[in-house]
Amino acid sequence: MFLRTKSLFLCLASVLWIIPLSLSFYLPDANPLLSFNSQVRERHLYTDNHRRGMYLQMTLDGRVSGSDAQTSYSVLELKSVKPGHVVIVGKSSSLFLCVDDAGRLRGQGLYAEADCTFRELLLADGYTRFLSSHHGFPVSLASRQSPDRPAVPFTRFLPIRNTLMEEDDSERAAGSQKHFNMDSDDLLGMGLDSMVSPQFSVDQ
Amino acid sequence: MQSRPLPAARPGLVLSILLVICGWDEATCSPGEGRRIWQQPKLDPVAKEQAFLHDTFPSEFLWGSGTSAFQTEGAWLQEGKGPSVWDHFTHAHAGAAATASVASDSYNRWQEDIGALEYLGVRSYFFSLSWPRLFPDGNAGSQPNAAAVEHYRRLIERLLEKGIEPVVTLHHWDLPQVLQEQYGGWKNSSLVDLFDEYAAFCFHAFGSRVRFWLTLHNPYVVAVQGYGTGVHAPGETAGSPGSLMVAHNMIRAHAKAWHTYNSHFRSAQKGKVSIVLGSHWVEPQRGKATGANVELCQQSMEAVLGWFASPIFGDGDYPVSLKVKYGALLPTFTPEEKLWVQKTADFFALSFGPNSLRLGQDLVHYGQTVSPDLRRILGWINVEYGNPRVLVAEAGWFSEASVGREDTVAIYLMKSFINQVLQAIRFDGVKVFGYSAWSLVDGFEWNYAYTVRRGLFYVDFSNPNRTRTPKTSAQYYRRVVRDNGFPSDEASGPVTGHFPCDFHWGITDSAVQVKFFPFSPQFTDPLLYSWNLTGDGSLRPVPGVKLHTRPAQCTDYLAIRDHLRLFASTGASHYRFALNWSLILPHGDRSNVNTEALRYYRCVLTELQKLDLDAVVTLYYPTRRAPHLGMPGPLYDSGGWLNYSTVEAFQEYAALCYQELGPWVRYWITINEPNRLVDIYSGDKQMHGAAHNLLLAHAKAWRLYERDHSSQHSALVSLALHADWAEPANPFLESHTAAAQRFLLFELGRFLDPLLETREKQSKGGYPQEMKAYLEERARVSGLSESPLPTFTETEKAELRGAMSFIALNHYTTHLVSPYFHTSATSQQKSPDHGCMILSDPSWPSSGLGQTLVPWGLRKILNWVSRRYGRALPVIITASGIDDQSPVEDKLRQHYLKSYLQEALKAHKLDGVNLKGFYVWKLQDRHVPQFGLFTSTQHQSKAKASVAVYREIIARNGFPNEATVQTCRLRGLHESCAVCAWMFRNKALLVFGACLLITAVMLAALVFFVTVTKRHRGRRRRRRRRVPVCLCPYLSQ
Repeated sequence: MFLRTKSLFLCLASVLWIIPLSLSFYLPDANPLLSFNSQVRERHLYTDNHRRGMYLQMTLDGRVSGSDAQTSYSVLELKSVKPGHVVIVGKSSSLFLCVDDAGRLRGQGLYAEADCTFRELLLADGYTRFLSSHHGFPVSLASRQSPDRPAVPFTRFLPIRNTLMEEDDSERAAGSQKHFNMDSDDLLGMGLDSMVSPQFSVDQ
Repeated sequence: MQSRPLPAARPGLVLSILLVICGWDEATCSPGEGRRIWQQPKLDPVAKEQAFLHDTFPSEFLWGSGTSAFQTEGAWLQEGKGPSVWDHFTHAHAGAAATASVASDSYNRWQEDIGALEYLGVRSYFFSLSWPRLFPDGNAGSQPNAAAVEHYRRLIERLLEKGIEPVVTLHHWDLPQVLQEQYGGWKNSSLVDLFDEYAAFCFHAFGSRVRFWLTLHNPYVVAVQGYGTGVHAPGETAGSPGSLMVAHNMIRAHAKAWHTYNSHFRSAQKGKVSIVLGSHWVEPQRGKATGANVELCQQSMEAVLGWFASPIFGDGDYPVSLKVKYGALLPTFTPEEKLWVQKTADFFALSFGPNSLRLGQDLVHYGQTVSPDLRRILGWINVEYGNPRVLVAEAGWFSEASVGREDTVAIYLMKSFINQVLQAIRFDGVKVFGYSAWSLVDGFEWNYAYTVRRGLFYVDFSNPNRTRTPKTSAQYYRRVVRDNGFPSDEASGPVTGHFPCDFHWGITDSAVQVKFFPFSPQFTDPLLYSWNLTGDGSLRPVPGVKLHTRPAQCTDYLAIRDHLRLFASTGASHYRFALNWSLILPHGDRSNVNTEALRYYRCVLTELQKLDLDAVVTLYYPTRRAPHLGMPGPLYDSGGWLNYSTVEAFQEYAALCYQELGPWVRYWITINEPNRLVDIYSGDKQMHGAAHNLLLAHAKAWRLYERDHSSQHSALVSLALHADWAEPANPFLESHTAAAQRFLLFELGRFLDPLLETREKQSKGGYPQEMKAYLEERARVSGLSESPLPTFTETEKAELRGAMSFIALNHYTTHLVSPYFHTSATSQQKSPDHGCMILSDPSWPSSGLGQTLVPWGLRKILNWVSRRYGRALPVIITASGIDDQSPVEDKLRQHYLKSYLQEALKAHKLDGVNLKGFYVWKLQDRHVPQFGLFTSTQHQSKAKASVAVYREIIARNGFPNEATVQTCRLRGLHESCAVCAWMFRNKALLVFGACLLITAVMLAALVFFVTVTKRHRGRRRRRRRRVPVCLCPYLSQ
């Protein structure tokens, strides 16, 4: 009996799972069901040639460059928007990775579908190539001095799972940013602490 | 914050340089520069520039307080006053209770206001003239109301007599009703000229005695609330078009009045004229200063402050963002007007209070976070408008009417605001020259009428006398004004010196995780397997073969060595960890003893011993999250600590641990933080009952050790209390001091008094007298027959007394304590049995989990314990630490360790507290960065930066002066080898003596050699002459 109700519940649950998937275009990042799946992948994009390896990074001013080490600026969020197409967002800069008519990469705050979606091509060697859906340019960290070279270097990327911890200051400030209740006479929120011992209450 | 700090020594020179820079470099002062404020990186809460600043204000700083005419004067029809728009508005919209017809009656009681100013000791009084009182018809061309002119003249004269500078506002929202009816108020541009005439009259009538004029007060609120939303008088709801027109006219009215003063009065009167502009402040959403967020922040500021400040202090025109937002709705300045409006203020006057902040929050936050940060808005004004001189003309918050004169929270808001101004002056180079704490007396608070209070002086509006009583915030402000800021107290300077040589440098851990799995099964599995490599790849035991296994060893538990290696690398000498009661005795009695677990613990202890480290073991370590509060399930089910049988079960458990682990343990903690454990129990009776049983359990465990083990192993036994310091929230109220003291007795005295002799003679064992008396009184008041506090029998008292070998305190932070009062937020809750409420000072730096960093609290609690229980017993801080979210650079914790140990040293050196140890909580994070000195195993157990800090302090055994040598180890050597010491002392003499000896020996040897050789030669010669010759006679000589 118990088993049957359980399987019924599972059935229902799976239906509930399918409904939102089939109806929506893509699921928002904040969906609690999806916290462990890879709808939004947090990755570093590693690229190399025989001499040098580097990570694609996007700084706050929107500049895109290569960095020798993983930094908070090289943490990128890859979101799939339709089959085979992704949008790449810098985690700490919140800027979209976009490519202009000349094939130059930059980060911009405003999402433009033509410039900021990429086709994700998985290569046989495990690397991935990102091609601008609209312009067809590959995402590359090569400086553009030699456009006529047959194969543009630094276009193959290895998405590496992000294991960097949040050392980022702004991220920490976010956690500690206070909420000020303007309607209260206790504006700075000094009231109603409770006695909390880290050993007794915080520790598990 | 900013690259131009103002050295106090030569402000004039720096000022002129700054002006030159501003003149040259257009970029530093151009509109939009304010963005820099958000773009610069945020500082740590413990950075010097960010922490509470102990410093004084520049001399001649203009301390003040203020009121406005309509809010306080009352006398709405007295002596020829005409009605204002606010009189009309309140009489039409609200009942008689919500009008300002009498208000604080300042028109008649102005001398009491001056008395209040004298009490504060301020140097200035910000007040406003009532336009309808001076000109009932609003027309300054007509004859003024003589009584009103006389009133203000008298007020100004008396202020000057008392040495108080009048700072006079011409118009604080109370427009003559006639002008509203005749012209439509500020919507009509005729008001520009009417205001100018009125201003000219005021300059003429009072200007000879007034140095600071403020034309309009916070025109933003008038434009938006008065003409846009209709919340304020005159209550028009014309929306943005109305507001924009009103603001335009008000800006032009101000400019015109300024020009009038500038061309007709300035040369004779030498005063300064400005306009008070109010604003909110915004921080980027979630603290993320991305380009988009910064842009929105800037737009939000431009929509409020920039609306008025940009024409007057900037380029003479509205900000571009406003032009974009409103388009054709926004009135325009002609090029001539721009030049005419621009630079029509002699200084910047800012209003920062609930009116503007709430409006900003409701209307123009643009998705960003509105924040009451006075320092940052001053910094923004500084860069946006080219470093002007700034007067904070209104600053403060409000209290609920029910708060009365004990306005504790207001003190801390004031402290925070004033300190932010000080930081802006000292670190950001903002030229603030005055501060007006708003307001002087309670008054009519506009649309909130009398439901909120903003006065430093309390006024009972039901009392016809309207007596002004200083609130505690007035007492606080008086102190700040007297000290001219926040001078640092003498005691806060660092001391040098070291801790005693036998000081415990420790690290505390929670219950050690028992990981049974041996490192490799090959030593425990006696079977031999065959591997079916080509087939299914399985392992099959070979039948009939038995291998020799070796007995289990401690080295099998690899986790122990790794863990202890981390500990040892810090240089600490004492490791405190807890046993898991429910693991060792799953049934709660000795019917089932988990010998494997005991073996594991023994391994930990022997490994520690091999490393020459001391162990401090906690028997019972309850936590909120542990199943059954960390005790064996059956005991928990039978009532836990409410059941006396648990006391006996604990004794049994303690006996087992003493017996099994005794040889390796130097210090035992029976129960960790029983004072937090009892919080779990709901109901006074249960809580006190649990505390009672916990105390008895400890005492029995202690007696047991004394009786059976102390002769053999001589460890010390105690219980560890959670001991945060409690500071009275309001320093001016007796009741708060009493509450803090009571709180400490409930927290610590409840457990320590029964165990230790207190210094007070009347103590006869058992719970503290004050606690008993308080609970009896409380029971009586609430109609209960008896106090919920149980009593000890005489045998129990005897068993308890002295059952503590050292005082163990877990100290983390400090709280503010006030007597419990009901607020809207607490109305649902029952007041706790100690009748105290816990608050925290917002100026204390705090961690991610909200723990505040208050080093001096440690010294205070140590002194409190020392005073109450004497210095005979050693005191050990058995846990202390703070959470820090940084995985490696844990600046907060580094600061915590340094500052707390510095205070511990003060307690030891200056106060003579018998402090014997300090244990950092804790060794390693479990998951995310929190309290650990090392990151969790998932994050490779990396040492955080504070490990190096702690190691350094341990190595130097405190904070010794560079010159003094640490003598702990040397002394040990000297004692063991007296001869060595003597040699060490006389080494110069010894070396000299040795040299002398060697020289002498060599000389002797030479002499001997020469003599021998000579004789030898002589003998040869002789031998040559007469051969043979016998050697024997020579030798025999």
